[in-house]
Order: sequence, then C-alpha cells, then structure tokens
Amino acid sequence: MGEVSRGFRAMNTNVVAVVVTDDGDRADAKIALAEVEALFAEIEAALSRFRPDSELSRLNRSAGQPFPASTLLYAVVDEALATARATGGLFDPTVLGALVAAGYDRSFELLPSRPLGSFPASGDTVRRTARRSDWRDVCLAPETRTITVPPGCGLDLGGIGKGWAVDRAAETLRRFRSFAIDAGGDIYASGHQADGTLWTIGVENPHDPTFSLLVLAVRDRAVATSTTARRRWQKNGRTQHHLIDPRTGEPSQSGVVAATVVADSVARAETLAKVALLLGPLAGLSILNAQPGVEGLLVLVDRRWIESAGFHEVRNGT
Amino acid sequence: MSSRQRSKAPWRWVVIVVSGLATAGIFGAILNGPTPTHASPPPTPVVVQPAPSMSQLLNQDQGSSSGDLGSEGDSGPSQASQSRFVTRGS
Repeated sequence: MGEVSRGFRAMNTNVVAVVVTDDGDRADAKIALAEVEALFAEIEAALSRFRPDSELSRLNRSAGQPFPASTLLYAVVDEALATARATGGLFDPTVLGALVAAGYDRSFELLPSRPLGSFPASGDTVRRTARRSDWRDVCLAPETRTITVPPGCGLDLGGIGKGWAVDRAAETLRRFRSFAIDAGGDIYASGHQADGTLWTIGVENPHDPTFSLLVLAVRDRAVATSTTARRRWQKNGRTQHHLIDPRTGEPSQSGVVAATVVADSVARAETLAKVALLLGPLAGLSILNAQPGVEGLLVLVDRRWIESAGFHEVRNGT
Repeated sequence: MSSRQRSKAPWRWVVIVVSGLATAGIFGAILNGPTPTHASPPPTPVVVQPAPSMSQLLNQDQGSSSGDLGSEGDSGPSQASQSRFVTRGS
C-alpha cells in the first residue's frame, strides 16, 4: 500500500489530504484529491466573511430582505441554525456583530498591524444594532431557498464552515477505504495509514504550541479543537479572542483554554468543542459525556486538563 | 478455717474487684476528662452525592513537577513528531 497526498491553502489555513492506495487506484486518487481542493475553493468563495464578493457577504449586506441562496450556502446556514437550536444558542452564527465589536473585523493575519484601540466606529455600530437579533430571527424558506437575516444582524459561518468543508471532502474520498483530511487541525481520518496502523493525531498544548499534550489514535473519526489561545489581539488594553460567548456578547472567560472533541463528523466535533469551551470545565465535560460517540478533552487556564469518560479509548497506545 | 469462713471468701474478692474498677474509673475520668453524655443520638450527617470534584478529574503533565504543561518531561516536541497530524484549534 502507498499514499497519494495533496496540500493546498484554503480558508486561511493549510489543508492536507491523503489517500491510501494500491498501485491500481493512484490515478483515481489524484483526481479525487484535485476535486477536494476545488471543493474547498468553492466553499470558501461562498462562505468567507472576509471576501466582500462572497455569497455570505452579499447575504449579510442584504439583511432585512429575503436572499436567494445557493444550495451550498442554504445547507450550511440550515446546519448552523440547527446546531444553534440544539445548543440553546451557545453556538450562535449571528455573533458577527460581537466579533467585529471585539476588533475581529478582518482576516486575522491583518490584525496585528492595526494600532491598538483604533478599530473603526463601524464595529461599534454593528455591536449596537446587531445584538438586538440573534439566530432565532434568521428565517429560512425551503420552498424558495431564501434566507432572511434580520436588519442589523450578520452571519459568521467560520465556526462551522471549515468543518463542513472537511466533511464534504470526506464524502468525496469515501470511495477509498483509507484517507485523511487535515484542514488546519480540523481532521477526519478514515480507515488506517498505509502501514496498517491507526491515524495518529497530536493534541497541541495551547499553553505552548511547540508541545503536544498527548496523541490520539483514531479510525473513522473526526477531531476538532477550539481554543482561545489563538487569534488573540489587544483592544483598549484588553486581550480579546474570537470565541464570543453569546450569553455575554464578550470573549469567553470560562476557564477553559482549549477543547478537543472526537466525534463522527468534523462539523459536530467543531461545534461541540466550542460549546464545551464556552460552558466551562464541569458543564463542558458533562455535555460531552452526554453525547453518544463523542469524547473530549478540556485544557484549563491553570495548565491542567480534564477528559471525558471514554477518552482513554482514543488515546494512542490504549 | 471453718466452712463458714471459706463460703465468704468469693464475696470478698467480688468487693475488691468492684472497688478496684470504680477507683480506676475515677482516675480514668480525671485523666481523660468527663465522659460526654448525649440526651439524644447525634444527628446523622446528610450524605450528598458530590459531583465529580476537579481534583478527581484533573490530569497534569507527568513530566512537570510544577504542573505546567510542556515545561519539561514527556509531553515534549517528540510527541508532536510521533503523530501524523496535529489538532490545534482555530
């Protein structure tokens, strides 16, 4: 058995897709990996809030009136709202206003160049108006496939879009028994590696990214992590990060620095990781333990961590 | 010794033993303090099933004496290199 892999840049991160092949299907694997790259490009073009010409940006600009959406955008918004319902709003795709108000108003790589405390008034404008509405006010009309975002409200699908893309890519590669896709740490791994061993995934230490906390060994599983340790910036002398708690409209201060979740899909792992992080150590662990087929690990601000009841099953070497 | 004197002997021993125990009890009370008395049985403590405590759930880096992750020991860069991918959050 051998491998065919393809790496590319998408959604502001590095993506690597690997297919385990035998000699007979290498050409087919290369075609499939090219399809995966095209899929990521298509999804990014539709869902990026940093591209003024993306379909999501056009939807946000048309707030207050029905927006005829593509099948792709409609499906992701539908899933995001379903997740918001399932989590009682802890996952809220309408926190865009709070994100912008906190200073995350452009692609993160551009933020450090901004003078501290000089974020534009537009962010404050969005904050004053956007919090009047939330995910419950977003209307989907399946018969016309239109989305209506309430006035002053904006959608940010960054919390689910990348995971959704990895899941769609996994569907594309499903005809191969063994493959893996890694989109900046959001990972789906199917089957086994070329040498027959399970796929191994290190869990980065949020307190020191040069270290891995531990290593997972998985098959047919998705792994995703949410953390407050990345995408941090300063505003008005306060450290901000991108994980907004919808209950406060402010960056989360739950005591959890990072949440890693193992689930059946990346979108599910990604959203559960975010929810567990927002809930804090004990409540976060409880919600992970209550989900069938889900395991997780929460790293706390004091540099220790807690694990879900069956987490040992996905730890390497157990 | 008459048969009457012999029949009284066990009672003398009983008196000696009882008075000895009483004396020892008095000294014991002096040494140990007064014996507490209870008008009613002490209340039975209500046992509340605790939620898992943080101390039961917490893990920490085995290689670090301070508990700081990654400061030293087993969880070092070598682990990162042992894994095919790394989940790091976004």
